[in-house]
Amino acid sequence: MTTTKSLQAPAKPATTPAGIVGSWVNFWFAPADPIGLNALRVLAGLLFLFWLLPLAGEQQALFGLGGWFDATAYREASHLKELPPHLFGWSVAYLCGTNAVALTAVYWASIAAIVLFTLGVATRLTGVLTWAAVVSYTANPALAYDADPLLGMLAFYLMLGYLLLGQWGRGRSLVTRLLGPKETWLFGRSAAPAEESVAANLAVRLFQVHFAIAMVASGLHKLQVKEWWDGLALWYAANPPFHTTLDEVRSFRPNAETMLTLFTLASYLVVAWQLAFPAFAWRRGLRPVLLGGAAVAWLACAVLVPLPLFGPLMVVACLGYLSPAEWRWLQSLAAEVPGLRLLAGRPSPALPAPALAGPKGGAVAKSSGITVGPRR
Amino acid sequence: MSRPPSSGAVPLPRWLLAAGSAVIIVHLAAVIIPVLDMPSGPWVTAEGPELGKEPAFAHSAAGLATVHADYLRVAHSYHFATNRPAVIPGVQIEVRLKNEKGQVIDTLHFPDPNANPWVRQRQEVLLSSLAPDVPVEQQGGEVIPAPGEKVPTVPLWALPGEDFSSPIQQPPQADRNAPLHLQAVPQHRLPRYPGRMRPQEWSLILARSYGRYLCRTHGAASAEVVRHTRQPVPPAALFGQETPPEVFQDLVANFGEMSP
Repeated sequence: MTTTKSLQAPAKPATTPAGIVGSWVNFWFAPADPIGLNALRVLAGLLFLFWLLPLAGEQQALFGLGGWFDATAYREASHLKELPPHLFGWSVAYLCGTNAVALTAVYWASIAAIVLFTLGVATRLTGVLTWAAVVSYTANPALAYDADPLLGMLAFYLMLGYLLLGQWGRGRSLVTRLLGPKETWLFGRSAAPAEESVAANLAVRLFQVHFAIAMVASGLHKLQVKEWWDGLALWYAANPPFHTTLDEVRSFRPNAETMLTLFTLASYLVVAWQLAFPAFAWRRGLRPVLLGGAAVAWLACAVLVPLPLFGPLMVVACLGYLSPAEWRWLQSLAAEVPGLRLLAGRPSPALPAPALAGPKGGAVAKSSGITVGPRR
Repeated sequence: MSRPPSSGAVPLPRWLLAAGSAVIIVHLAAVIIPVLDMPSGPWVTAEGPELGKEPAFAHSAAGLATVHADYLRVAHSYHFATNRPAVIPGVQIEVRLKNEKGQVIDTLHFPDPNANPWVRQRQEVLLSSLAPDVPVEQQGGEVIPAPGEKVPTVPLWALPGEDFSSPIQQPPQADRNAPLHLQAVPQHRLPRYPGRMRPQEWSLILARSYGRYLCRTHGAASAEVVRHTRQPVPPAALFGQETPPEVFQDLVANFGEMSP
């Protein structure tokens, strides 16, 4: 019996029920091309390195028990009643105590693990180590920063994905089961496409849903703040104390009306983008809204506010919503660029552009699966 | 060419789909509970601005997120501090490192302009926790210590020469240019008039810890931490108004000397 399966969407499990239950099962448990998980891993790995490498040389200060927030401070703070819950977490760095040499060794071992994870080496193991590193280096309560929980979220779901990837099946060696499949290696991959995986879909879906919750929750919190209703919140972000002079502020006065319109409009657009995030994040036709918003966030963070991590994080997180077909399409584009050919590997020759092949993006190909409509 | 559907893979059985679905539901609940289990507001009430209580159902279910929050570190309220930009003052500190004789051997400024942007940003995060200050709680009645015990003290920001030993105190003249210093005042001598401010306990712990760290790394006997704060710049210019010049003046507050 010949059955067909869309390139755009993951195949349903063989015994998919109909209706809401079927949609639920298809959303979470349909096997998917792991390219989306792999691409997210590479981007997240680069992001983690972009975050941690500039902090080299400051390990003891930032992460150690002899640093900015030392062991005495931890003891003193443990008696406070007015602290928010869950401020204190665990960290591998705490095992080093005040030993700077040990902490330096742990730091560089963490960097090595992240590099290997990014490259796709022993992802089952390096995924766990990367997550442990991210949690450890965001544990200092004195340095808690808004982007930190989002970093931890990204690392957690990647770890989960690679812990499960390729486990449900026969014929895998013990080494593969312990360290992860070889197909995740970034360079020198074979032309054969990777096997579809439920784990790849599940991990990406969990990340997508969790990130959407974070966006909406933060947007709803903004609605409790007067400055967002005034539309002037971005004024404060763009004109921080100590970085703004009286002359700079006075320079706004000739164009006050225009500036007021721009600031208020931009503030409302930020809130609207966050609140409407689930409405466009999974829709291929609204990719410009998703990725354009992330790009604007990056630009704004780079130019207006001194938040070096938040912008790239938003871009990586939003790219996590691309479907496997879109990643394959980007891979085929990258393969045309001489410098990126090695990274992109050899794309499948028959892959069409996403959303361009077939009606409503429903490209159809022969496979052993079931007929599945295009994934929105 | 399509993806192969896992040659060695086995279709997921129904029991696994059901178990996986249950785990997903519990996981998402653990993610959402900390978002809901937060006070809201402040809202306008007859008694003035008040925070709304967290919903009871979310508060009672908070235990569901313990593993996610404490161990997996994936549960968060996503009520980011930067969502309230108008209440975040700018903070810089000056640290005077001293030797055993009390002589200043070096003066450091943070955020360090020579640090790379990533380190400087983390310094700014740390410094932002040194402010804002909070009002000194008004005492309901006279505090009398137990026999043989000392009266508990409260550290508050005091002006130079300010005396808290008298039972009857008058509000001092407001002078933004006068540097404040930290003074431990016995509870029964706390000012009875409103508007007196004190640093948060968390700020004190951070200042002491940072001072100790700088002493250790620079070989100093003590470190005097002086905080400079500026209020957020109001958007008066957008309404064609003049921005008050005092917005650009520092409020100086001395945390005192810390030793390792």
